Amino acid sequence: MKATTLILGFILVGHFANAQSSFLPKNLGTAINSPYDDINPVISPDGKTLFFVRANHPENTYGEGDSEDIWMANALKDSTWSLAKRILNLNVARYNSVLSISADGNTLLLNGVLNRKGNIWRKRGLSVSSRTNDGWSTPKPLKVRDLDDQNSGLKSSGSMSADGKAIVLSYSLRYNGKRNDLFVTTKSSKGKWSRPKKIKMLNTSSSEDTPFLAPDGKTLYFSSDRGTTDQFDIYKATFDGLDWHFWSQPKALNDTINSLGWESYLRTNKTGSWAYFSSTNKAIGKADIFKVKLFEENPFVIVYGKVINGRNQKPLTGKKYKILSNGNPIDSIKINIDSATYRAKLPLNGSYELSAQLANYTSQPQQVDVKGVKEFTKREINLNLTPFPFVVVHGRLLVKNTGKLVPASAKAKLLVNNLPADSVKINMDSATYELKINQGAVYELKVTAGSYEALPNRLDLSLVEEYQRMTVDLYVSEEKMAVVRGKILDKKTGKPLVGIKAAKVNVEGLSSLIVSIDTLQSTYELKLPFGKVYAISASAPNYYPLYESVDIPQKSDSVNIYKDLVIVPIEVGQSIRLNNIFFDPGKAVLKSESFAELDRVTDFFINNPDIKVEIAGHTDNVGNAAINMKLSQGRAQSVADYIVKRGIPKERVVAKGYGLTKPVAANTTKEGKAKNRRVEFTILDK
Amino acid sequence: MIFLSRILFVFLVVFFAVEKLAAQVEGTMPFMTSLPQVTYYNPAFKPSYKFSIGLPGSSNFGQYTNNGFTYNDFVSKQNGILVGDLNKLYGAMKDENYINVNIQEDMFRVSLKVNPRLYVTVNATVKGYNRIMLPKDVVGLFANGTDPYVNSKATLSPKVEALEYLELGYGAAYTLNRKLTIGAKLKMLKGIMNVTTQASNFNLSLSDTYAITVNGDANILTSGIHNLTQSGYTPSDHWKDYLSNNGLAFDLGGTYQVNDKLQVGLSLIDLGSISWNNDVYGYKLDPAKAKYTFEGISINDLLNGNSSYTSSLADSLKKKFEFTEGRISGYSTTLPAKMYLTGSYELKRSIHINAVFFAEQFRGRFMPGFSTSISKEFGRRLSTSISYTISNNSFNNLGAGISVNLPPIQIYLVSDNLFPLAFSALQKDLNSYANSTRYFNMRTGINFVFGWDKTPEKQPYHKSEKSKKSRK
Repeated sequence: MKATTLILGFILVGHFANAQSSFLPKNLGTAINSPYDDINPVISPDGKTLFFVRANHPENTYGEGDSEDIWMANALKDSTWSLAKRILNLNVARYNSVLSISADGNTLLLNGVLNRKGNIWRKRGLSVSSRTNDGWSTPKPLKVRDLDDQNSGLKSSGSMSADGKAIVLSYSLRYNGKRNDLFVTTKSSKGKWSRPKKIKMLNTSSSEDTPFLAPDGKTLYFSSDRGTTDQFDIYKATFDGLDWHFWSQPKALNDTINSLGWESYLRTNKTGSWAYFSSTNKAIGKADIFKVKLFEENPFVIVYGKVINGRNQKPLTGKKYKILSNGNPIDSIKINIDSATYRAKLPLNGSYELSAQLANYTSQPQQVDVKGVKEFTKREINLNLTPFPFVVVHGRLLVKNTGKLVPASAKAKLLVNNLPADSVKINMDSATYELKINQGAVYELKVTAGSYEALPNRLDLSLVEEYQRMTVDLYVSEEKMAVVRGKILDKKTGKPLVGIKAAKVNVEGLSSLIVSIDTLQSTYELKLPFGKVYAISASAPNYYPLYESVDIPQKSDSVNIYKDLVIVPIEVGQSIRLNNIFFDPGKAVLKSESFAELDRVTDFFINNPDIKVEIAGHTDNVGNAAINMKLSQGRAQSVADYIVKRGIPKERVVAKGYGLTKPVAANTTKEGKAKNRRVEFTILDK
Repeated sequence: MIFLSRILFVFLVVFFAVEKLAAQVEGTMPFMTSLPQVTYYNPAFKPSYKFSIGLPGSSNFGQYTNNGFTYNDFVSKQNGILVGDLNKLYGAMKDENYINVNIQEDMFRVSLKVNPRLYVTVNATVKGYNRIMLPKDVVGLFANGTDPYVNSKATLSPKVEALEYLELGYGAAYTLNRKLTIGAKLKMLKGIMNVTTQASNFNLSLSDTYAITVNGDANILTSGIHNLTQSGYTPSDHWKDYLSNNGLAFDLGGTYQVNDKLQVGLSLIDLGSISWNNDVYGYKLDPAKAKYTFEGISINDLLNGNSSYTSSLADSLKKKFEFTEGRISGYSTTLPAKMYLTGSYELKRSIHINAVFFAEQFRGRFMPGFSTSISKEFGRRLSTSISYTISNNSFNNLGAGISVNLPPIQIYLVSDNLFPLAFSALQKDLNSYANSTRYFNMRTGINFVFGWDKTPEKQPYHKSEKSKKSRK
C-alpha cells in the first residue's frame, strides 16, 4: 500500500513538474480559445500581437453557419492575452485570414482579394494590408501569376518568407479538391510574383497544408495527414537556402506537439524558439491555439541573491568580495556592494558550487544544480560570508619605563588569562609577538620574560565583531638584578688600578651591560640578572683580563656581591694562569668546557697583535716525572694548537711542558696539587 | 429541415388543391446556375461563369402545353383502326382548353461579371408565344349533339393569341450586400407579328323544339399577318416595316440570402407591352348579322363526310358569319407577364434542393405552376438537375437538366418533361409519348463560357479533414 502511494506520488510530482515546462504545449486560454475552431495563429515579430482565425463564431461577418474571421489579441504584461476581438475592416469575405506578417510587423498577407473599396470579396488570391494609425488599411491585391486559376480547391493557406521574396502556398489544382499540395512563388527583381510551382520534394499523395516559412528563411513547417494516424500532424523540412525546390526529407515534430488529434498551423516567433499552433488535442473548444517552446534561446540560469553576513544574517554591504563558481571567477557576475546583491548568468545543464570569497571570512558554498533544466530559469540563492571569529593581535614586547625591547635572552612567553595559548608566536630576536584570539571577550595578556616582572595587559575584544589585525605592544616591568661591585686590581702591584680611563668591565655573553666604573677609585658596579653564573672580567689596554665566576642565584630578592677584578699587565716575562682549562685526567685532550677560556685568550691575541707567548704546562707531583713532563708538554701543545687553529700565527705561540718542575704551591694538599696542575702563558715579546 | 418540411407541405397543397395548375413557364431551368441563361428567370441571378457569349443556337427553346387533353384523348382504336372519339375527347377536356406553343431563340447574348457586385447581360432574342383557347362545348356539341344543350346555351368562343417579337435586353444584377441582390432588365422590343382576340363570343342555344340559334361576336386584331397572305410578299424585303412595332418591357428581380443555406428569389418577367403599328388589320364579326337558326342536322353526317350537306351548311354559315377585314389603327398588347418565386436550399456543397412557384398572367388568364428539383454539380464539368413539375393540369412531369461544361464550350439540355421522353425513346415508342403529353418544354444550346466564378476557399481546419478521413 505504501509502495503504491509512493509510486502515485512520484507520478503526480512528475506530472506537476512536466506541467511546468514550456516545452509542453500550453493552451492560450479562454481569451483566445473559444468553443469554436480557433486556428491559424500568426504572431507579430515583436510577439505582442496574435492574429488568428475563428471559424463559425456567431460574431463573424458570416455568422455561425460557415465562416472564418480574423481575430486578434494583444499580449499583456503578465504573459496572458487580451480578450480577442475581430478586425472589422479585414473581415469582409466569408473566409478571412492573415497568412503571415512582414518582418517589420507592418504588413499583413491576407487570403482573398477584395474590391477596391474593400467591402466585398472579389476573387481568390492574395492581398496585403498595411498598418495605419488606427488599424489596418483596405487590402490591396498582391498579384501572383496564375494563382487565381490554379487555386481551385476548398481550402488554401500560405506564408511569405521574412525577406518578402517567396511565398509558399498550399492549395489544390482540382476544383473543390480537398487534398492540397505545396507550391512556391518567388518575386522577381522587377517585383512580380512568378507562377507558383509545386514543391515536388515535399508533396505526397496526402494533403500538405498550412505552410509556414520560419524567419530563418530556411525552415518550413507544414501540416500533413501522411502519417499513420490519419490525422494532420506538423512536419518540418529545411532547404539549402538557394533553390526553393530542394528540401530535406520532412520529419514529423515530436509527440509533445503531434498528438493523435489534429495539429496544424505551426508558426514561430522571430527567433524560432517559440511556436504557436492549432490542435484539437486537449482543446477547450473544437480546435485551440497552443504555445510551445521549441528550443531555449537563452539557455541560462540567472542566479541572484544577497551576500549575507553569516554572523548576524544581515546583508554584508560595503565589502569587496568575489563570487566564484566551482572555484573559478564568473564572467557574467555583477555585484552591487552597496546593497550586497549579486547576479550571475550560468549555462544550463550544469552543476555549480557558488561561493562568496572575502579575506578573513569563511564562505559557505551553495549548490546550483541545473543539470536537467532545459529552459531559462532564475534561482535566488543567498551566499553567506561569516567573518573569522578571532582577531590577530601583534606588537612588540617592551620593558616598561625603559621602552626597550625585551631581550631574547629573557625568553619571553605570553600567557592569556594566565594560561599558555597555542596561537601565540613570539619572535625572540625582534621581541615581537602575534596572537590569534577570539572576538567578543576581555582578555588579560601577560608576558613572562626571565627576570622581568610580568604586567597585566588588558585586551578588550568585547565589542569587536569582525576580524582585524590589531597592534598592541605588551609590557613587562623593569628587570630585577643583582649588584656586583668591587675593585679593579693590578695583579702585579696588587693595588687598584687608578687612572686608567679605558678600563672596562666585561660579562661573558652579555653585550649590553648596566655597568658603572669609577676610574679614580678603580671601582665598578654591575647589575646582572638573577639565576645564572657569569664570567666577569675587567679589561684595559695592555692588561690581560682575568675572568671571575659569579653565581647569582635565582629568585633572590636583592643580592649584593663583592668581587674584585684582577687584570694582569702585559709585560715580557709576565706569566698568566689560565683558570678554566680542563683536561681528562692523565690525558692531553681539552674538554669542551675549556673553549670559552681559550676563546678569550684568542681574543687577547687578536687585540694585541705583537704579542708572542709561551704556553706552559705544569703538573702536580703525582706520578712519574717524565710522564708528567710529557703530559704537561702535550697539554700545553693542545692549548697552543687550539689558538693557532683560531687563526693566530703559530710563530706567536710556543708550547712547553714543565712537568712537576715548577710548582706554585706545596703538593701536600689537594688544593696545593690543584694549584700546581695548571696552564700558564708567559709573554715572551710584545 | 424545417424548410424541407415546409416544401413538402406546400407541395401537398399544390398537388391536391390546385389541381388546375397550368402555365407556360419553366421549372427546371431557373436553378441551372451554371448556364448564363439563368438570368432570364430572375435578373438578379448571377451565373457561374464570369463571361459568356451566346450566338444563334446558344439558346433554343420550344414549349408545348395543353391543359385539357392529349392526342390520346381524342382517338381510340376500333378494330385496329384509329378513329376519332369525340366522346372520349369531351370527357378529357376542361371547360376552357388552352393550347400553347412557344418558342425562343437567342440571336446574341453577352454576360459579364463586371465586378464583384455587378453582373450585366445583353441579349437579343426572338420570342414567339402562341395560344389557342378551345372551349369544351365546341367538342361537346359535336360529340353529343345538341341534346345536352336543350333549353340551355353552349359557349363556343375560341380565342387565339399570337405574339412574335424581337427582344433586345440590357440586364444587370447588383449585389447590395451579402444578403440582397437586385436585378433589372430593360427590354427594347420590336414586334414582328401579333394576333389578339379582342372579343370572341359564340353562343349556341337550343329551344325545346330543337331549334338551334347561333350568334357570334368577334373582334380580332392582327399585325404582320395580312401581308403574309398577299402573294409575292417577302418579309425580309420589308424588314424596316417591322421597326415600327415598338415596345418596352422590364424584368425586375431580387434574391435574398436568408441564411448560409437558403436563398430565395422573386422576379417579375416581361412587364411591358408592344405597340403594333405595322400591317395592322382587324377581323370583325357583326353581332347583329352573325345570327343563324337551323334545325335538325345530323352531326354524324357531318363527321362522316356528307359533303353536300356540309357545303350547303357552310355556305349558309359563311354568309352569316363572314369576318369583315379592314385596316385598323395601331394598338398595343401587353406581354405574357411571368412571376417566379424561388427557393434554393444548399443540402451539401454541390447539392441543392430547389422549389419554384411560377405563374403567368396574360390576357385575363392567370396560370400558376410549381416545380421542385434537386440539382447537383459534379465539379465544374457537369451540372445536373432532376425536377418534378406540376403545370398545366399535368402531374407526370419528371424533368431533367444537364450542362456539360468544357470551357469555352458549354452544351446544355433542360426540360421539364424529359424523363417520359427518354423512357419512350428507350421503348422505341416516341408516339406514345407525343400522344400522351400535355406539357413539354425544352431548352438547349451551346454557350461560350469563360472563367468559372470560384467561391472563396477557407482556411483548413479539422472538420474538413474528418470528411476526408471518412472518404478514405
